[in-house]
Amino acid sequence: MSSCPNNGFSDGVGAGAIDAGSGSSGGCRDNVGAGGGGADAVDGAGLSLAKVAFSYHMDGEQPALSGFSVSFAPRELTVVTGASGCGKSTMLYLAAGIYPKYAGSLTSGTVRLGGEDVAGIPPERRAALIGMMFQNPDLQFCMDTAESELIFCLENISIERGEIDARVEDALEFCGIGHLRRRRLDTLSGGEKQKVALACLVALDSQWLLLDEPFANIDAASASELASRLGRLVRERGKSVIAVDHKLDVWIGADEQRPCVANSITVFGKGGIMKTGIRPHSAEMNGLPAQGVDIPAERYRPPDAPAGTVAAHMPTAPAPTFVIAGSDPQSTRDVAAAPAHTAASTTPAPARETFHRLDDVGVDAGGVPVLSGLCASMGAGRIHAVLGASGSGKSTLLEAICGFRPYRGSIRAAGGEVSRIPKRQLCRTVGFVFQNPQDQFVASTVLGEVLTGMKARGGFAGEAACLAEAERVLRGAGLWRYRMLSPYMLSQGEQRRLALAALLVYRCPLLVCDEPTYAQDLFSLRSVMGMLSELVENDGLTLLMSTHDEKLARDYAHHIWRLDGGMLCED
Amino acid sequence: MRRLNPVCKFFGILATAVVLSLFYVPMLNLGVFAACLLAAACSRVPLRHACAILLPALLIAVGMFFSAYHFSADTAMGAHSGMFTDARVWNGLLLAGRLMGFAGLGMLFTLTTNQIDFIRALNTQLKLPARFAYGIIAAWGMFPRMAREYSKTRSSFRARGLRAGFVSPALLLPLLVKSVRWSESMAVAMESKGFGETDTRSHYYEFRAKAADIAFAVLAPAAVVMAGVWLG
Repeated sequence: MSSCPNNGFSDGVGAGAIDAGSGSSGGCRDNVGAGGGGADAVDGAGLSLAKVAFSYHMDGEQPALSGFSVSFAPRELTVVTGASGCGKSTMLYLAAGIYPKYAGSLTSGTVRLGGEDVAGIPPERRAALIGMMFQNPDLQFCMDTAESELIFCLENISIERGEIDARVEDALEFCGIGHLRRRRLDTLSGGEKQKVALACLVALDSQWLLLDEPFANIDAASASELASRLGRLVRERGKSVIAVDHKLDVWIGADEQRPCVANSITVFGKGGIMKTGIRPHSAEMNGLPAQGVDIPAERYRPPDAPAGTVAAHMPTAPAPTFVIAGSDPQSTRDVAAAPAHTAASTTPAPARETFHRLDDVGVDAGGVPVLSGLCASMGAGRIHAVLGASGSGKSTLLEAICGFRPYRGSIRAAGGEVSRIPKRQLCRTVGFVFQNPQDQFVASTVLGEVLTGMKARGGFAGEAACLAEAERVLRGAGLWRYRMLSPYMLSQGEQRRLALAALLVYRCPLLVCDEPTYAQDLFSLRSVMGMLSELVENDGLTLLMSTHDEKLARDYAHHIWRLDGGMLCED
Repeated sequence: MRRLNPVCKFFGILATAVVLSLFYVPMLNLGVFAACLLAAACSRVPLRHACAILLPALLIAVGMFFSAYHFSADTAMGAHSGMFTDARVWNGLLLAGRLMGFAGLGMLFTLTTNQIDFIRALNTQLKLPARFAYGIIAAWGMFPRMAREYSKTRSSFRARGLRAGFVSPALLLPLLVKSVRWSESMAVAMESKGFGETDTRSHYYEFRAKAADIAFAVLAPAAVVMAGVWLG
């Protein structure tokens, strides 16, 4: 076995601990590097990648995976985790036979299922062997209703007409979505769509289920329910599941309501696998946060640091330094690199006067009242979190506060009624960070994205001063070298940083963030929240954020509201 | 109309439209339009949906009527019918009525046919390649999402204090990028569900042309021919 890099695990796990033998108890064997004997050690039904070198560039430059080997044993649920950008999803897409057909080039190595080359298996036969569930529930359906989608799947694998009805019925029943049978898919919530996606895999009767961050877009309750059904598939039907995820709580069970469904955990690091066969709740899991993995026992913010203080957000890995345009360079904040003892404050910030207020607010969507009678006040220098299930109206509320939706009642931001603030001025009063950073980009280059905000804000003495400031902001966000690239070419974490940097140049007193840490690993989450917390603490920014992540709200927010049945309740 | 085989209905209505274009009889155009309204009403087509299609057509038809009325090339043209002694009225009604006749036929087909069933029927009955047929269905499902994304993109411009017109090219760039990504994601999702290059799929939905379907496809254009000859 080849050796592993220093992986941050406290129990001495490393080269010695990663061997073919560990797989027998963990379900996933071996390892990193060119050795990779474990790829051959799994039985005939196993899924193995042996000495794989893959690059997203057709010339093979800058490989995403290099000399990579791993095997997965059947009939187990394995969670693959690790920091963003270490090749987890790439491995999954190769294992599913999607790459290199749809992207990149496989310069060497093999991907085999039961000894057969996965990419060489025709899709109609491969679907019965390997099924895939994707992160975005909106982009995995071809038909209009759940029933049609299931029938489409079964027609693809040439199931006879007489058998289709029974398999559709069984899949719907297994996933508990019989009531959604004839509902239009575009009217379903994210959680419901993921259940339909799971029903497709059940109907296809795929032996291997590969899941790419399947819970990133859905609330905790839906995620737990889906995870428990996946666990049943493994236990009752002998299926094999490989799930790529940054967060482990739904897989290993954070509380009594969420039982452990994972058999083992595999950790990826830069360049390959760092550890395999980790048992849920074992001592080895304590090393996972150092790899950017969130575990239930790990708080995003250390418990002794009060909400809204910089000390709370020290990431354990290098992260960009954010610089806010127009701020004093001497007070430039280096959230990531600053040691804890240099934190601006270690005591809770004093409550400041109410600055923004909602009075009897009601909002309609599609002519139907979604929210009504909402009252809330938000102080300057405070973080407010809105929790709620998918479809509860969180985004609708945030959009109304930002002036994107008409509302009843009164929403006052920085003393002004939102609906009466001129549109060109509103962007300097309320800033809105979209859930998906791609929704926010308005320019064709990274530099243009920041310059757009600066020009809209004004106050610069000429083009050169504006450009110099943009350079400072982009260097602070670690994006200066990408300045001439399209924002769409950045990684997801980089896009998130650009979206925030571009919006913060407006220096709005109220910043509204829709799921600011959506699909982020632990490093990125701490980096983003650390930056926002420091702005709240030092500049008196009011931050209002929606999230599905209760831990995020409890660790960072001064006030937590819960949106349920169209009403806003103090949590 | 809803129970007719989609392919037979399509060809019946297409043939009717072709036949209609060969006659120059205002009353025939208006008669076809009225028949379409009657068939739509019998098929319980929602009035709101019908109006959404017909009102823009009506607006254009009124414009065409007055254009043809005022700018008739030959004042004696076609005014041989006892009903229309004024050639200008005849000319205006001919053009406006023809447009309404076509709009009525289009409305009737669109609002009484499930689009996905129509594509499925083309796939099973006319052997339209499955990749093409299901590609159309997948693209069809994208339209509501496109509308939502367009609205979101406009919001993002507003959030940044930028003005963007209804059809601003600046709004189209993010939509274009997203569309390309969606199509890739959709292709991957379809393949992961077993949709392949070979057409070995089974077919759950059966589409067969029954006697009533064939009768409609033949009799509808034939009726227009007979009416056209009689009225002409």
